Order: sequence, then C-alpha cells, then structure tokens
Amino acid sequence: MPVLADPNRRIRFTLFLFLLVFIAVIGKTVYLQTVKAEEFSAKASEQQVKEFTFPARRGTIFDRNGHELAVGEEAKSITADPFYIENPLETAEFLAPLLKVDQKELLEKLSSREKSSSVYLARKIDPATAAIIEDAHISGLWMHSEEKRRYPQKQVAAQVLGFAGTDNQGLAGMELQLDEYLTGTGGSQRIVFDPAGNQIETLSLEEGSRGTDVTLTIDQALQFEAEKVLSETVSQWSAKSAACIIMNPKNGEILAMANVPTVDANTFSQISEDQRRNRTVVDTYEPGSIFKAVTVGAGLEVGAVAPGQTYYLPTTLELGGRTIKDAVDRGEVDWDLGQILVHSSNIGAVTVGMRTGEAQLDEWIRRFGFGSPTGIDFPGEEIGIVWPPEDWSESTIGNVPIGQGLSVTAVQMAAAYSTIANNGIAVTPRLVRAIGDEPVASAEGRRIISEQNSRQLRSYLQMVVEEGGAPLAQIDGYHVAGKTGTAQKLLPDHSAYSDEDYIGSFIGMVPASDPQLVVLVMVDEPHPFGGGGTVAAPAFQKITQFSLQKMEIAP
Amino acid sequence: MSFVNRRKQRIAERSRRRSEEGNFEYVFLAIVAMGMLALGVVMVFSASLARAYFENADGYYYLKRELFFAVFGVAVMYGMAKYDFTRLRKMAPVLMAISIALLIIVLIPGVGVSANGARRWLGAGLATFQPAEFAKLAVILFVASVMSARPRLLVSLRDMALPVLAVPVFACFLVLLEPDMGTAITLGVTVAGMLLVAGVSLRVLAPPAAVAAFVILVSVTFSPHQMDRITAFLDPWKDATGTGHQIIQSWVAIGSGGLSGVGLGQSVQKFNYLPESHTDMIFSIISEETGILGAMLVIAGFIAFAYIGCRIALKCHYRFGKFVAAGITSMLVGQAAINLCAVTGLLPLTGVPLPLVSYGGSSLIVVLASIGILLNIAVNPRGKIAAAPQKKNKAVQSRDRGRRDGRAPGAGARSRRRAHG
Repeated sequence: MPVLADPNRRIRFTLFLFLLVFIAVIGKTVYLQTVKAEEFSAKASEQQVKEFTFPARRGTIFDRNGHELAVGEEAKSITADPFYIENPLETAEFLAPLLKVDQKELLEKLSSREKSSSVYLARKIDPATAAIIEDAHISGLWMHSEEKRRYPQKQVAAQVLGFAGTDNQGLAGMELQLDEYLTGTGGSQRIVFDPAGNQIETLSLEEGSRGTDVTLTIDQALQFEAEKVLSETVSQWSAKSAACIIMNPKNGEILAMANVPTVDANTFSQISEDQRRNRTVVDTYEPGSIFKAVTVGAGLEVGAVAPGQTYYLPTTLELGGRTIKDAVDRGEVDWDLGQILVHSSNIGAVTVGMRTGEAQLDEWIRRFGFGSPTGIDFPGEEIGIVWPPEDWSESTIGNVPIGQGLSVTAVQMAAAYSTIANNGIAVTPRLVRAIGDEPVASAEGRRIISEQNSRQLRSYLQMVVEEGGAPLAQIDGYHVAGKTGTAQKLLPDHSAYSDEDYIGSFIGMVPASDPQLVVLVMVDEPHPFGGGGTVAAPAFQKITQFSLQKMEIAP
Repeated sequence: MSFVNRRKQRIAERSRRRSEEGNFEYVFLAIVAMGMLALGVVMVFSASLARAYFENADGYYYLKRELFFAVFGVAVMYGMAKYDFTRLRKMAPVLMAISIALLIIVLIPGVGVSANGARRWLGAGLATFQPAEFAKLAVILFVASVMSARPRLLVSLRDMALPVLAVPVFACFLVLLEPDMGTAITLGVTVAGMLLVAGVSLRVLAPPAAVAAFVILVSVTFSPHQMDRITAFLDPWKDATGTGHQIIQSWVAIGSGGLSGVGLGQSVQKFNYLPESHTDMIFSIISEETGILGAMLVIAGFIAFAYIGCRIALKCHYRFGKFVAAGITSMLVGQAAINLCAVTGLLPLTGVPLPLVSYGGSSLIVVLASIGILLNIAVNPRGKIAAAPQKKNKAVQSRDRGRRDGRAPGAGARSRRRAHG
C-alpha cells in the first residue's frame, strides 16, 4: 500500500517546477528582447509607422517680364490603406461618385487585404470634394496636400513649356529642361498610426524647400501675338500647322517660339504626342529657297563669287540626269548675286554652289550651324541631316545649294540668319533668361563670316523684300531684309517631291541695317498653292510689326 | 475544562510570538503583493488609456475601475489577513456549494451576462463578478479541508475519487460550459498542485492526469477554436494576420521593447495592435515600455511570490493551512506561469490573466483575498506548533507535533475529534 509522501518535500519540488518554468520564461523574454529585438522593432515600425513624402512646391516659370507662365496650385490627394478600411463596399459607394471613378474598380482597390499597402485613390482633387471626404472621417483614408501644376496662360507657349506630371516632375519642354531647378527638396513626415488609422504621433517632419523660380526669354505678348497670327494664317490657308521663332540676333534670346495648332498646357497629358511637340526644335524639314542665302554666304566667304559680278544663267541646267529650272520661266540672263536672291533663282544658286565647290560648300553649311545642334536649352533638339560630300551623287550639287537634299530645324535656320544679322557672329539661341535671381549669361559669340560679307548679304536680303521678292513682308517705316522659301515636301515614301504639299516660309530681320529681331515663319502644307512670299510673308509682317512696337525698336 | 484553559493560554502565548515567527513571510509577501499591484495599476492605466479613450471617451475609464477594485481588494485582503483562516475550514463545504450554485446560475441565459461569446458574469456595473473566480478559492478551501480531515482518502484513487475529486471536476466542467478555458486550466493546475503537496503518490496521480490529458486532447480536436490556438502556437507565421496575430503582436511588443524599452506610456502596440493589451497581454506591454528591466522585475516578483508562498506552506504545521497555502500559491504562481508562457509563445494562448497585474475585477479581488488568507496563515498561531519555544514541556511539544504535522494522520484525526468533542 503506497504511503503518502512528505508534503514539505513535495512543496520544494513544486517550487522547483515553478522555477524551471520561470527560467524558461526569462530565457524566452531575454531572447525576444535581445536577439530578436531588431527584427521585431523593424516589424513594429513597419506596421505602426507610415512615411509620407510630399513633393516640394515647384518653382514658377515666368516670362521675361515677370508674367506667370507655369505656377503651382494647392490640391489634395487621397490615399487609402485597405487594411484599415472597415467597410469597403460602403466606402466605395460613397467615394465613387465624388471621385468620378468606377465603383467596382474602387471596391477592388479598397478590398485588398495586403498589410500596409497604401494606394492612391485620386490625385489632386479639388478642395471642395476633398472637404466632403475629409468630413466623412472614414478610417483608412488619408488626405494630403499636393501641388497641381497650372498654366494660367493656357495655350501660350504650351509646347515650349511642356508639362509636369502628377508627381510634379517635369516631363516635357522647359519643365523637363529646368526640372533640377524647378524641383525643390521634397518634405517627408513619419507618423505613428493605430490599426484603425488614427494618428498617434508625428515622429518627424521635414518641410523640404520650394523649387527655384525660372525666367524665360519668352515675351508673353509676342508669343501670344505670334500664335494668334499663325492661327489665322493656318485657318486662312487650310494649312496643317505653322510655326514661328522670334530671336534676338545679338544675344540669342528667343522672344517667341510658337507652334500652331496651339494646345492648352493644362490638358497636356490628354494631347497627342504630335501636337505636344515644339516642332521648331525637334522637327526637321527641307528648307528650300530660304537656304540660298547660306549658299551665297558660303560663296562670298570662299571668294568663289563676288559682289558686283554677274553670272551667266542658262534657262535650264542638266546635272546628273536631272534638269534644274527656275520657278518662273525666263530667258538666258546675266544676274549678280542680289538678283539671284531677289528672283530666288535655282540655277543662280546652283551656279554659286558649283563655283564654291562641294567640299567648301559643305564646310560652310556646317559652319553656319547645320548638321549639328544649336545648343538651345530645350530638350530633344534635332540636328537634321547634312550629307558629307563623299556621299553626294552627281546631282547633289544641284540640290543642296537650293536647300534640298538636306534637313534642318527651324531653330538652326533662325540661328544661321541671326549670324547674318549679327554681322557674322553666331550666338547660341536660348530660352532661359534667369534661374532664380541669377541671370543666365549668353555664350560668347563665334565669328562665322566677315562683317563685310554679312552686311553684303543683308543688303541682298533687303533687296528681296523691297525689290519684288517678298513685298508682303514690308513694314511701314522699317527696312526689312529677308528671304522666302517654298520647299516642296517629299512624298511619304521619299520617292519624289510632292506637287501639292510644301512648306511656305519667310525669314526676315529688322531693322536691316542693324537687326534687332530675326523672325522666322513657317506654314506647313497651305492650300491652295501659294509661295512663302504669299503665305508666310504676311504673317511675318504682322508679327514683326507688333514686336517692333511692343519692344519699341527704332527703325 | 482545564484542557480548554490550557489551550487558550497557549494560543495567547503564541500570539505574542507570532510577529517574530511569521514576520518575514508576512512582510515580504505584503510588500511583493502591493508592489505588483502598484505596477499593475500603473501598467493597466498605460495599456488601457487609448482603448478607454476610444471606447468610452474617457482615458481614465479602466484606471478608475482598476483603482476601485484594487482598493476594495486590498480592504478584503486586510480583512482576510486579520481573519482566522482556520474558521474557513468548516465553512469550506458551504462556500463550495454556494460556488457551484453560482456557476450553475451564471449559465442560465438572461441571468448570466455574456460577452465575447462566453457567459461568465453576474450582476451589473461595478458589482459585476465572475463566479468562476470565486470558485477557484472555494475549490482550494474545499479540497484542503477534505484532504486535511480525511488524509486516508489520499492513499488510493478509488477512495479519493468521490469526496476529493468529484466536486472540483464538476466545478471545472461548469466553468468549461461558460466557456472559460483559462479558469478551468487554472483550477486543474491548482488541484494538481494541492494533491502533489498533500503527498499523493505519483502512481495514484498518473491515471487522472492521463484522463485529463485525454479529455483536453479530445476537446481540442473537436473544437476548431482550440485547434486554431494550437496551430497558431506551433506556427504563428502561417496565418500571421489571423490566428497567429495575437502571439506575433505580443512578440512585436516584447521584442520592440528591447533592452531599454520604448518608455513608460510610449507603447504603440497597446493601440489595438495587440488585443487584450491591458488584460492577458499586460506583460507584453510592460516589456515593450520598460524593456528587459521591467520584464525581469515582473518575473522576479512571481518567483518571490512562489518562494514566499512555498515557505509559508512549508512552515505551516497545520495541515489545512499547509494545503490552503499550497493551493493559493499553486493558483497564483500557476496562473502567472501559464500567462507568461502564453504571452512569450511557450504555450498556446488560453486566456489566463496575470494575477495582480492584469486588469480585472473579480479576479483581482479573489487574488487579493487569497493573499490575505496566505498572510494570515503566515502568522496564524495554529500553524506554529513546531516552533514552540524549547523551554516548553517536552511531552506537550511532542504531542502537538504528533497531532498536527501529518506524519501520523490517523492519530491526528482521532485526537482532533476528541478535542472538539
């Protein structure tokens, strides 16, 4: 028969058992608080702390006179953490009409049970809607302030300004070009939340700093006028598009850079890629007759041709199986360089080119800046195509001097004419006048052609306007020098030139003796047919006249 | 008559000496208990602040209630410390009967108040109490009284089954019906501890232990809820946001406390990340806020508790007192051990609060009442016979010892009957 054990021994045994258990608890607790401390601290922050970053306020873009072109405007964004949303269906029903989104899609976003997966429900909603949602106090929803980019002038210089995306980063145009300045330092905030989404405390708050304001060389008034005139021209001629550059030849400042059809910069994201482009910089075209001044300039510099001399020009010229003719039928003539330009004689220009020689012509085309970037401070500049002489065919010398068989950008053309306007010194075209309070210095000019030759060219170009080449470009009280261009466009398959589609252009400078402005107007595919002198010159006349008055330039 | 007089004399004599004899245990236990209670009040306030604020728009809601129960409980403790615990022996069957009755009443729909799917409460407002808590103490007193009165029963399981085991098992069954798994487990551990201390042979204890284990196994297998707790215990990360959520959040709290803690009142886990943060999970919040120091202090407190409780049981030479002391110590330290093992992930979660520290009404009052009884046992002259002064008559001393130290159970029982007769 088993006897009863000694209670006191059993009590000590019990105490020993308890001690063993407590030692195990101590061991586990110490393990959790030392070895596992880091892991669980990280897990704690992961579930308790949310970090919010808010983009810095973006710098304002001003025109040269301090008018706002692009500004930041306060807007609210709304995010949700589905984990904290108690009733996704009800929340979706409430939010869908307010945010104008599909209820099903919203419900899907709100129903995900992934831990700590914030999703944006809407970005940059208007303050009134934001207030309604905030007043509903739905757990798991957060509002935060963001900045919405607004372009108060709407279409003015839209393609130049480009746009900034929802995260306030520059995506195109000057917004992209100047992004590093416009973007400030973002702020951030670390907030401790309870599981229901109530804020417990703010751990840290970094305010960040606002981006730098930027002043462009663009003059809002000139830009607006240019766009207005181009729009009228486009509708009058049923043209596809039109573009204009107004440039100060002395320092390279672009005063206007217009692309028509215009677009509203505020709706940039919904606009087709085609219409977003600042075509004056990123598109190339065959310049046509407008290029003949470059050919003559090259000839003068090389000494292949000289002022005062006349050149025999046959009615037609056969080159490598191709027949070159002038636009207007004429008999055999002896013309000097001025007459060649006034009549925009193809045979004359080719004669000058042949006298200059292929290699020399090519070199001077390149010296004028074609085939390489102008260095304008705009993203995505095209360089065009200038074939080297070794790639030329027998007929190429019949093309290049008259602006065919090579492609250029409008800004290259404006820069080349600015060299002629600026007594032979090339300046880099530019769009940025100042970053913050720091004016942007213009690059030092490079001499391209002699002052004498540039004056000579200007006098020829003045004759073009004043002696019959482009009478519609004349401006009362001013002497205008300029050149028309009527460039046939290649057919889409590049097999031949189109009979219907061409680019009518005019480039001019005023006052001819000491030009302050170089203005290029291009009209793409005007119908019915009209040369550059008919289509582009009147637009040039209006835009330039307005600009001269606005800028108070003396004749 | 002379016998009675002599006895009275002896009691008076011992009363004078009791301060010397049980003083250490008395003071130490009181200090540990009050220290733990104070820590509990502070931590319950910290852990419940957010919950109280969001639930009741009054951040002090739980603090106020906890303070009320603490003050009331300390008063009960003081009363019990002054109350001669030997008188509880006769009351034990009555208390047990009342307790069983209350456990039945609480199960009646409309009478018992249910919350979270369990029907555990009687009464309303501050006067709400859990019969199951009261049952713990009643079972201790009942089992101690039976075991001390009829030690022979303890020799075989067949003898013991009806008088000793049937009533606690029935109480356990009623508690499980509420259901209140935590209290049922506590009852089991307490009775097991008492049987162990009473000297019941391990060969006798083995079959009921095996049956209990089997019953637990079967009930777990058939209860999806309990099964979840087991799977969550085995691999909480498998369902980290579901069944494993509570233990993982407990680990996050303890772990993120690290060595130095996040600072008193600075816990983030208590903001509803960790469910039951002011009740069962209070240790995790203490560990989070006060780091390893606070955590070790709590564990040290319960080790001290176990030590003093066992010391009081060891020193008590009155069998009823010894068993009650052992029972109360098993109950309090056992609960603490189960709770601490659960919140650290060493055992599955069962819903056992941490005595003195966790928020709780009836539980705190019963715990403090138990400690009051323990305090009384520590200094009660009935337990001090062995410590009688050496100068005393040797014969008397040896007779006293023979009657009450439990080494000669038959004689003890007979002599007591004579004395009362």
